[in-house]
Amino acid sequence: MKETEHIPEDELMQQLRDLRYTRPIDVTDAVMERVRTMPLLTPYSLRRQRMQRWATAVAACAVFAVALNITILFTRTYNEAQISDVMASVYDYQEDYTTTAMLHESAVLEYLYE
Amino acid sequence: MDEEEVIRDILAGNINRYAEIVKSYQTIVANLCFKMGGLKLDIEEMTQQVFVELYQALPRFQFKSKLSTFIYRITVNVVCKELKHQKRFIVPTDDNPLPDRPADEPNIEQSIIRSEQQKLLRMAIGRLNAEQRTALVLYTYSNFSYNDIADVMQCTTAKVESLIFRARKNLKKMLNP
Repeated sequence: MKETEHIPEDELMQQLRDLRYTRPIDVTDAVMERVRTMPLLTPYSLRRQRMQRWATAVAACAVFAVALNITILFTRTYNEAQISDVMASVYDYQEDYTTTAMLHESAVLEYLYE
Repeated sequence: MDEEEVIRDILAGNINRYAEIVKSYQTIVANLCFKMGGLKLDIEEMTQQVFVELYQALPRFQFKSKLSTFIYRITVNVVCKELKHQKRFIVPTDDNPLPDRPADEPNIEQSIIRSEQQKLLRMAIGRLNAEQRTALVLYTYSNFSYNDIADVMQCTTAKVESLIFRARKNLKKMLNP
């Protein structure tokens, strides 16, 4: 049977239909008592409520943006620090290399002049 | 009772007229809570809660749909929220087997059998997931059409059909393992 086919009536469905809350119920007084203590919502208060929700959403976005910015800034600073470390070691190596090369050069020259 | 007039009256400040709405719909709401809540809910408390939330939501009602549809939607939301809050969406597992079916013996009174069967059925309904349960309960309630259910659940008719099909299948599996 396809999922979209009409559901045939059977015992189970009938049982479901027969399921009823049989006790008498009257919650009118209790509800009215609760409702009377609540402020009545008017179109104006509803609009104010919506505005408050929007304000909260905007504030949340702002906080998120600031947090994101701080994260990016921190990551960038960290990367820059890492890069400068690497560059420093490269310069050190270059310096060593140059010194060694100069030493070799002077040794060769000495040999030649000898 | 002209519902639109009553609602406009309430919104204008005549709160006492809200009692008319409560009186007209309380049995319907109680029945829906009873069917949807499994064995877990205090029906009277739930019915009260639905009407309190309806009161708060009344300014949002735009008279585009029937008031009954609006009330059903709020009822479904309140019941689901409560069940979720109580963490009582029980996943059917072997740890929580349903009790044995009452035997249809002639020496047991029919009313007891019937009441036990209803209890079993309500427990099984309580084990369906929220969407399937809502669709099935609304389908078997007051001859709701698929369109009405889709309206209440704010989804498509095809989804409603599929949910009812699955709910029925799961229910049968639970009741006749």
